[in-house]
Amino acid sequence: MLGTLIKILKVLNSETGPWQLAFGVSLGMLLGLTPLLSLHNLIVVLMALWCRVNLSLFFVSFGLFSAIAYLLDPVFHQTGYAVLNSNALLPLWTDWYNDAFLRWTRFNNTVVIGSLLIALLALLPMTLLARFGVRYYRQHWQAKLEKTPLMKWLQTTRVTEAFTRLGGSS
Amino acid sequence: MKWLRWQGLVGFFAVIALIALLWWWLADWWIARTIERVGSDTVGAEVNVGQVDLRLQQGQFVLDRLQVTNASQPERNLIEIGQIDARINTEQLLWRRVHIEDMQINGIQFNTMRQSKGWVAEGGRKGIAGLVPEIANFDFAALGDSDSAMALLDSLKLESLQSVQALQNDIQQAREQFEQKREQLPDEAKIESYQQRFKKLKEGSDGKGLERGLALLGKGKELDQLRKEIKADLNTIRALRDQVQQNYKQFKNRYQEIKAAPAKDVDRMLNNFSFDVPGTDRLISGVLGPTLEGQLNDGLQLYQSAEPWINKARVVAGQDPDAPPPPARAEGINVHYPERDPQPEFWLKKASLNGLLEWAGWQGDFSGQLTDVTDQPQLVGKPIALNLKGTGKAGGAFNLDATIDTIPAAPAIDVNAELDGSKLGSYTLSRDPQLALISQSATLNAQLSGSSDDSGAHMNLAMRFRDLTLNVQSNNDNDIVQTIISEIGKTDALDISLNYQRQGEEVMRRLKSSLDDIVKRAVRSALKQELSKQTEKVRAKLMAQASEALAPIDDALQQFGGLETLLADKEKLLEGLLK
Repeated sequence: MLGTLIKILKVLNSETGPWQLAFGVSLGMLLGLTPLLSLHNLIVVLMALWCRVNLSLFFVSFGLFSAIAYLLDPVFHQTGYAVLNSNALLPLWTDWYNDAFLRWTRFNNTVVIGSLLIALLALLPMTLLARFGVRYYRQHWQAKLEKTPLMKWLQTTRVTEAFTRLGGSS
Repeated sequence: MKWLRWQGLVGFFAVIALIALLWWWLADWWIARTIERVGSDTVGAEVNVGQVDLRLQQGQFVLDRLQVTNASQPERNLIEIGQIDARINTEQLLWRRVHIEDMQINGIQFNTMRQSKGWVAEGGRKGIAGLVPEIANFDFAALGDSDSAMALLDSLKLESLQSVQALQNDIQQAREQFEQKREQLPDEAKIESYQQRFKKLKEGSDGKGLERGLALLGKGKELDQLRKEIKADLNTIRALRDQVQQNYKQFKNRYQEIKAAPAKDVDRMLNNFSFDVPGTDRLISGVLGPTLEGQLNDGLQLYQSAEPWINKARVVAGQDPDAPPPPARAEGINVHYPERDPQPEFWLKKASLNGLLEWAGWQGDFSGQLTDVTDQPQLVGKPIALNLKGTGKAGGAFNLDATIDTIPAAPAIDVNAELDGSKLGSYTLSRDPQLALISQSATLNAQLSGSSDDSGAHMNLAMRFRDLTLNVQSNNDNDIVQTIISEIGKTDALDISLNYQRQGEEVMRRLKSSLDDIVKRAVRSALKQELSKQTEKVRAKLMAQASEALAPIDDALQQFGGLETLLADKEKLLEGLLK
C-alpha cells in the first residue's frame, strides 16, 4: 500500500502530462469495472499500451475499480437487465445477437452490458476529474508536501527501493 | 509530444501471441483438468481423464480413458470409458454453440477396479431406502426353541376333542328329547288304573251259563276300549324304545370312533400340516432388500448426477428472461433473442456406444446408439432416444429401448427392456449371515417396462430364473433352519417381480417373489418333520387329553343305555295286562 502511494506520488510529482495521467485513471476504471474476460477489454488494454497513457496509474486504477465493481455488481445487473429488455432497443439487440462476432462480446449478459455502459458514461467525467485533480495537486499541494520531512525521507531512493523489494507496489 | 508508442503495440501483440502459445501448449491439459474438476463436483466422487486431444481446425475432440469413481465403493469405478472420439461442428462453435455431429464412445465398462481409491465427497450419498419394502421381521431364532412344535400343537384345534364335545352335546339333547316324550308314557298310576279296570270287568263276569254270557256282552265294548288304550301306550313305549336303542347304538359307535380319534389327529397333522409362519410373506424383501437397494441407489446416483444439468437445460430451454434468477457475483444472466436460424446451444446428434457389461456373472458385449441429446429440445423437436443391444458370451441377449421427451415441462420417460435366456454365473444375492444366498448358475429372462410423465410414474420389472442352482448357508445351526436351507437349496426356479407406481403424492411399491412361498413351504415342512420326531410324545399327549374329555361321556352313555331297560320293563308290564 505504501509502495503504491510512493509510486503515485512519484508519478504525480514527475513531468508526465496531466492528460496522460487522467487517461491512465479512466482506462483503468473501464478495465476494472467490467468483467475482465470480455472482448472489449482487449481494446482497452491495446489503447492503454499503445497510447501514451500512464501505465502506473492505469494498473492502480484497475485494482481500485475492480474492488468497487464487486460492490456495484447488483447495480450493473439491474441496469443491464433493463437495457437488454428495453423494447426500443430490441431490434438492435436482435441484430447483434444474430452476429457471430458480436455474440463473442457477451453483450447479452446483464453484468457485461450494464457495467460497460456505466463505465463508458463515467469515462469522460472521470478523465476530466482526474486531469483537474492532477493539476490542482501540482499547483496547491506538491510544493508544500515536498518540504515535509516525511516526503523527503520517502523520496530517498533507498526507502523507495526497499518498499519495492518488499512487494509494496501493486 | 507523441501520443502513440510503438513499444506498447509490440508488447500487446507479444502478450496475445504468448496467450495463444500457452493455449496451444496447455489447452489439452487444461481441458482434461476442467473435465475432472467439473465432473468430480457434479458426481460427488473423483473423476479422472487420461488424455485429451483437441484439434479445433479439424473439429475433433478425443478423450482417452474416463473414469468415474463409485461413491459407495471408492476402490471401483461406477463407469469407465476407453475412448470418446467426437466430431464437432466448428461453424457452430463460432456461434458459441457446441454441436457434436457424431461421437464414438468405445470401451464402456462398469464396476471396474481402480488403481487407487477414488476421492468421494463428504456428506454421504442420498439413499432410497424407502423404495424397497420394509425389512421382513422373520425371526429365525424363534425356531430354535425345542418345544416350538409342541407349542404349535397346543394352539391347534384338535378334531378329536371337538368330536367329544359334539357327542356330549348330542347325548344331552337325546336325553332331553326322551324326557319330553316320557311325559306321554303311562306312569305307574295309569298302569294301576288299567289293572283295576281289568279287575272290575272280570268281577262282573264271574256267573255261569247265560248269565255270564250276557254280562260279557255288556262289558265287551268296555274291554275293547281298555285294550285299545293299552295297545296305544305300548306302541308309544316301543317307538321310544326303538329310538333310544338306535341313538344308543349310534352314540356307542361314535364313542368308539372318538376313542381312536387322537391317533388319527396326529396322522392328519403330520400328513396335512398347515400353519402360517408370520414373516415369511416378505422374506424376499428382507433378504434381497439391501442388495437391490444398493443397485437402485447406484442408478439413482447417476440420475442425481445428471439432474443439475437436466434442470439447467430446462431453464435454458424455457428462454424466459422474466424469470428472476439471482445471479452470482460478476456472472449476471444471459438474455436470449430470436434467432434467424435458431439452434440449440448444445446438441449431441448421434453417439455410437459399445462396451462390456458384466452383471450377476453374466458377461456380454453391447452396442447401440444415443441420439438427440440437447438442452433445447423444442428446437430439435425430437426426444432423446437410446437403443442398446447386447449378446452374452455364454448365450442370451438383451435389448433396451428408451426415450426421454424433455419438450414438455415435465419430461416424459418411456423405457422398455428385455433380457432373453441369459446364462448367469455366480452371483451373491444376500450376504446376511442368517441367510446367505448365492446363485451359482441360472438362466434369466426378464422384462422391464416403465414410464413417467407429469401425472405419475410406473415401473414393472419381472425376472424369471430357471435352471437355478442356489447355494444357501446360515450361521444358525438349528435343525429347523437347516431344513429350510435344504429346501431352498433344492429350488431350481425363482420369480421376482418389482412393481412401483406413483400417482401424485401416492407411492405404491411391491416386491414379490416365489422364494417367499418356497420358504413358507420349507418352514411348514421343517415343523412337520419336527413333529414327526416327537410322534409318540404328541400321541400320548393327545390320548391323555382325549381320555380326560371322554370320561364324562362314558357315564352319560351308560345312563342313556339305562333308559332302554326302563322302557323294556314298562313294555313287559303292559304286555302282561293284555294277555
